[in-house]
Amino acid sequence: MLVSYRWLRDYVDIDVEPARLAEVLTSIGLKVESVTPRRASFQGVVVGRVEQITPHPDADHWLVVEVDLGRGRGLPGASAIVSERVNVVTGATNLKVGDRVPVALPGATLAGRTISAVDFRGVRSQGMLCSEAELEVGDDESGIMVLPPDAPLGEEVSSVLWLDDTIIELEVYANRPDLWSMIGVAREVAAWLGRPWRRPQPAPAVRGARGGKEGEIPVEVRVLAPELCPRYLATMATGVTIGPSPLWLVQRLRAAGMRPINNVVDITNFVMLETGQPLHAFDAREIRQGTVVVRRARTGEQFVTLDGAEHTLDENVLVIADPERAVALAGIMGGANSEIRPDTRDVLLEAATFHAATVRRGAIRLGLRTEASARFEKGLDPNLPSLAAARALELMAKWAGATIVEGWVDHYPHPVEPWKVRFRPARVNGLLGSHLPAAEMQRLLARLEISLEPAEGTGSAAKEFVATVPTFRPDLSREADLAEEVARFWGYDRLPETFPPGPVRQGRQSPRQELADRVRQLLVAQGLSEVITYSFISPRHWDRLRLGHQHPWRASAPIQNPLSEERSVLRTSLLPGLLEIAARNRTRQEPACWIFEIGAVFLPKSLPLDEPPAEPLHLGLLLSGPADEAAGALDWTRRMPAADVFDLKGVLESLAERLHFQVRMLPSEEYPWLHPGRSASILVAPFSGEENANQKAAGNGEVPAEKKIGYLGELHPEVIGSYDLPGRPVVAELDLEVLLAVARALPRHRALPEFPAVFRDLALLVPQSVPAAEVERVIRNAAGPYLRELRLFDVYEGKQVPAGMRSLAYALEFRSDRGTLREEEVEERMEQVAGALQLLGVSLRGGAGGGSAS
Amino acid sequence: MGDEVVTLRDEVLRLTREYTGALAAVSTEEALEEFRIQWLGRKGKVTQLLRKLGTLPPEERPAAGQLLNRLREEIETALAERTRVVAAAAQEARIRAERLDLTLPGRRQPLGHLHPITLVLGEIKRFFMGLGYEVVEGPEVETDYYNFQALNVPKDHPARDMQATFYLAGELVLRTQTSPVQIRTMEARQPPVRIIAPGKVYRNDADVTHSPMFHQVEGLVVDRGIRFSDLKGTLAAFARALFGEDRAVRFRPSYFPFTEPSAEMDVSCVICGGRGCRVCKGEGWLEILGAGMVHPRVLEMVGYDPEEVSGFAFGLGVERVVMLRYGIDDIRLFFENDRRFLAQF
Repeated sequence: MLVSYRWLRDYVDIDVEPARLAEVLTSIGLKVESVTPRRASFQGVVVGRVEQITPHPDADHWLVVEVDLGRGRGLPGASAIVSERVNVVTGATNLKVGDRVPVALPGATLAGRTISAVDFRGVRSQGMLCSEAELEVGDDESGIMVLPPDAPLGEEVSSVLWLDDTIIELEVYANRPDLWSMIGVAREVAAWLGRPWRRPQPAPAVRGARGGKEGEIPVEVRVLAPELCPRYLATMATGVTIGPSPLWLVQRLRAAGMRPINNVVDITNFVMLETGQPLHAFDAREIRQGTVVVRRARTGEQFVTLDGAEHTLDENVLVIADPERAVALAGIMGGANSEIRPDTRDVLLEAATFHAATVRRGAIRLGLRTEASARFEKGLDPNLPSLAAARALELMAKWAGATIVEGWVDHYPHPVEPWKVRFRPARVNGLLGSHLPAAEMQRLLARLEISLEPAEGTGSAAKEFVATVPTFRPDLSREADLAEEVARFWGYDRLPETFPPGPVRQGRQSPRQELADRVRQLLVAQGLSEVITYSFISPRHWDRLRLGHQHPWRASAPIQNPLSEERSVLRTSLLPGLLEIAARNRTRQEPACWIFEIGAVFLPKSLPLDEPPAEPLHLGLLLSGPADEAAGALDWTRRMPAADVFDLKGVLESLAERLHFQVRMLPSEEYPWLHPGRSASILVAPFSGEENANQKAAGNGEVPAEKKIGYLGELHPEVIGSYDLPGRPVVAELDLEVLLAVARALPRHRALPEFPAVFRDLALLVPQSVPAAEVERVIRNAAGPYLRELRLFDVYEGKQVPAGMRSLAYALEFRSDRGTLREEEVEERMEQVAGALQLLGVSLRGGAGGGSAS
Repeated sequence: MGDEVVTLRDEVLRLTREYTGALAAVSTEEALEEFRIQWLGRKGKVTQLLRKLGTLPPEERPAAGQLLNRLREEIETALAERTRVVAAAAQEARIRAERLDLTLPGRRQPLGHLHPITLVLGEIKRFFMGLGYEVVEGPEVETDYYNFQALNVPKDHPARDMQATFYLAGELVLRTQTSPVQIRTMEARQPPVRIIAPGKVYRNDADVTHSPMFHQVEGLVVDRGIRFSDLKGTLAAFARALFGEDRAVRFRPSYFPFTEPSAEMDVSCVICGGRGCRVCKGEGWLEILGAGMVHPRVLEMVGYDPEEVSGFAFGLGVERVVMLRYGIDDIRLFFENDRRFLAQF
């Protein structure tokens, strides 16, 4: 809603500057979007009247226009003496004698250009006639701008067109249809100022609905869809002379950002801007049989709106029709078949109230959000049409030469009366935290035309009142609504600041949030950075990830109205988002990338969705390139190798250690996006409580309650290629919901050892076919309960190791809680270990069994 | 006194002069050892003289012995002193040789970065947890009922224009606000309620200041006797905690279908301090959050009695706060996840 500062002063005396007015509006909840001073991009352009138009004697396409600049007017400060009449040469052909036009006199500036008198093939042009576009007051460059017939001759056009005005743009909230009008804004400003205001009061003789008698006009109104049209008021004006609007009207329409069209149409627009009630003027000749029908459109019905666009309607659209055809889209736009034309003589004026949601749906569906529909869809006051119709008729009588037909037709079966709302000052104070006396509340509400009466049976010290709410405030239906009105005009900033009463409780997060936060910290500490990616992705990822047609990730929920195909389905995995980031960073010369994301994935229970998808929280990880580079700590003392699966596995093992759960990687070839020889499933299990510490390490034997929570591995070379990634990135993804059930919040303390440990190293020659996890399992089983730590410290293949074998070296720590272990006890264990390993085909290398001080 | 003694005395005097010069020339630990052997060793000069004592007459021996012992002690003392000096010099030289160029960069351990949204969300959560709020969550795929209708936004309500919605299927939408968590929380428990609900929300909108996905924090307090002034006090304290104690805070009337009275909170511009700049569009104020007293209709819909309890609710756009806090001017940076961006936080 554009509010002209100058226009607003028609209704209320405002003695503050526009900027201060904007602050006031903001403070009472009329949200100011912008405050824009209008500025003329020209000066020295004055109003002239066309006196004579003659062809240029020597040029076919030029005209010589004699203009009258009025008596005693000239360009202030101009060196040349300007006569009252001047000749100007123009190429424009839209002028006729009597038109008032903007004349840029010699010395005038137009968008920075200075105008001077110029000879056009022997005819001296003493200035220039200007188009809207040249004055930068409109887009029209097709011809010379024609000013209103009462524009004063010789006046500066900038002041004639109110280019010294300030426009305040308001964002009107959806619950305040009354503020889509100048009088609505004026009412609020006056209430804040505590001043009376001037409301339009059409003269009694032309009060439309209030003068004459119902049914006296030769029009019949049939409302066939009364549920969509609570009120239809029809009035008539005859004998109008269609012509240009007077200056005052043009000034106001232009200030509100509307183009003048003709006096009748401009008056309907003006009244809409002034009162908030859209009106429609029909050429009465075109309403066949003098009958207006308000009905739902027929499915497939064709209709051409007055902007020339053709629409196909359906029964959800309300139309105004005559018995033969539709003539307007109710509340949206009139039809080309019945619009006001230059020869229109009789006007049928519609002032109606339509069902808000129907107008809204229709306008959205037809792509026609108009000034009218914007107002109707907020829900207009059904009592407003009387005022608006009377006002428009009054103006048509005065400015379009109309004769007002006495009488009207008013379909208004259920008149809306001001309603009552219970109002308890103590309750309002209780809601606001204020201590305002009832009388103060009464005073504030009265300015908004809300009256408070003590409720029946209560005296002057009434505890309960009844508020009567005017029908233009549909937003006020409850006590809380009135409390807001009191607060708005008392001033939000004058209300106290307090804290909620009541007992203090412990604030906390859910275990799920705690876990997520803890995981974040542990990953950041290991050099990974957190990313956040969109929840919607492209379904094209699935092919790039080499997924089979039946892969569950493909069952992703589509968005009906996506921004683009790139963001068209809800992710079922965090992997695509991570890969996009790695790819994007690569193109930005940032190849190293150690990242993780914690976020929901969306797993439909069925497709198409008929219930909300599951939204488990996942953790996704991607390592690409060396850690120090990714952490921004590339340094001169060492070269970190690019990340591989063991880096990522180590990250997860550290996580397991700190979050107190058991983790195991089970090699697997089931993930098509991973290198089949370098991928595994992630299995986790809780500690049952009494575990031996050595079970914490990865690779221990089977645990009964193990759950699969995700995958880990190096990307498949084809996937690396399809995302154009550098190196050989490794990825993992885990279901944190499972982890939540498995991770233990608190570590279990174990007493520090009392007795010394005995250390042994084992260098083993292991067939390539035997996995390290198996070797460890055998060692642990054979070594018995005294083995407290088992650590792999070397893996070697190559020279000195026979083909098909590799060398694994372990450090073992033996300890008892009951006393110092004797060498023989340890030796006995070591022999058992060696024996057990032999059954696996594993032999001891070199001087195995020797002590070490690891 | 016999000649021998006189000769011995001369010899001692001579040696005294000699050792002083020799010792002064010693500057390494090897030379010190050499000196010790030369003078105090078994074949050293002083030892040799001591051996000569036996050749002296018995009555002269005490005096001569005293003389020689004094010489030996003197040399030992001087040698010890010289040893200290040489050791100190050697250490000094070693230290000098070990000088490092400490202007070379340090060796850093890899350390990742939390996303700036997480950092600021953490600050917000800590503030409210400190006031006894519980942090709760809700689903990102919502039904039309929870996202709109239960929040007093029926179908075809013009307020739906404020939130361009992504539709999934049937009644399912991506939530446009965290407010549905209010409803789910109130449905699940009785007052007193004191929660915040951070999370992702979605709107069909994308440019420099609008992201199709962003984060909100919803807050809700419902109890007997909750007042608008409690909303003001709580949120003003929050704004000052987040943006600084000297921030001016202003509340102005606004409209949300699910609160009444409704308000928006502005803080004096963090960039210009309120004088007016590009960030605050010359207004001196920055809009931070929307809030209001829970609409009685909303309370009724979850089965609360608005005559018995009241409450306030607020909703905060996290990205906007992060942008103001760190001076970020493009919301898209949050989801591009450029390493150079993330590494700044």
